[in-house]
Amino acid sequence: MFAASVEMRLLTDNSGIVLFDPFLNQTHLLRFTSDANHASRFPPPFTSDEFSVFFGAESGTLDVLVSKKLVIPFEH
Amino acid sequence: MSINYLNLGLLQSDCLTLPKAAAQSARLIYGDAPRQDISSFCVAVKPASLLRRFIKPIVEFESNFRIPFKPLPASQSYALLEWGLNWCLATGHFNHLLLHAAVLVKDGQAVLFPAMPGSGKSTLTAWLGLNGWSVYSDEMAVIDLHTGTVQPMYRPICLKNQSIDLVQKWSTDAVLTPVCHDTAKGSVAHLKAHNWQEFSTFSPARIVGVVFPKYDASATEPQLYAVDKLQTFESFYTNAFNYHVLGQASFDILTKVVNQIQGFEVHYASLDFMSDFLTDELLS
Repeated sequence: MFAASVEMRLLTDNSGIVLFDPFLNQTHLLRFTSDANHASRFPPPFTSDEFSVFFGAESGTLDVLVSKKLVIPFEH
Repeated sequence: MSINYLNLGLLQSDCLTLPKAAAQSARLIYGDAPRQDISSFCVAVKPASLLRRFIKPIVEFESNFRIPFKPLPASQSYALLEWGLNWCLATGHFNHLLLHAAVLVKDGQAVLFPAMPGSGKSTLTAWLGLNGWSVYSDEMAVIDLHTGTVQPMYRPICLKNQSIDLVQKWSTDAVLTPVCHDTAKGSVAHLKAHNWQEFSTFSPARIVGVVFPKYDASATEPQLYAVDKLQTFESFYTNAFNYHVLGQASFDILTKVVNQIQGFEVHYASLDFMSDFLTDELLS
């Protein structure tokens, strides 16, 4: 699903992470929770607590991302 | 008198041909800016054909031998020029990340206003520009890929319909181009946000916040919503003109900017409220 060199950044308010796949030149957004004030186009797959089980505070391996189907692709 | 260059601050366009009325408006907006050494592109607005020069005149916008839009009535020449310049920047400038957003700056701190058409963005921009804020752009935020600061653009504010009368009421000194009627956006006039002397003092500004404004005349009380960083990233991402071209550079700088700013959605009826809100909540 992703190239091995995908970049991942945690957003500081813990609302989610953003990923960039340089091989496909695609950006993906992943929301942690569904408590946004606006209707979001992203389904709420996991809470941040659940996420931290997998990744700790910041990041983890992409294998986990893929195998747990955490990533909701968002095409530009 | 013709005008043969348009200094947009960030870069410059050579101006090959303009109808007389459009040239007058262009001189009003850009005429006090000095010529830069190098132009990045050239533009022209000229009759679409010999026949249509005389019968129901229509004009077309051309840039570097490309004609991106369908012709418009000659009475809309200046609006076509401004929209054409937007197109030139959005499709041809890749040294900065370009977002569709107004940029207002005070005390060296920039607030971005990405908004859908009809949200009152340009009216708000004009009002803030007339009340102590520096208008870095009405249309396009120009973000430095290394520092994340926003650069000023020497462009006018595009006012539509009732906002034209409002601005004339707010300031009798406002410099406005003649109104173009029956455009795709209704009646349109362009407001000179600053003169070149003021503009030349502007420097890159740090982005401190993003506000998604929505004018609601029926609102008795303003409504504020915090916008989280994922929503802010999504909004910037979908409002970016050249994100996909810049690739990882735009991803890196957008993440950096989003992580250092606050975001709000504001439904408002009072412009005074907006000014107070911006000063109290976003400026440090």
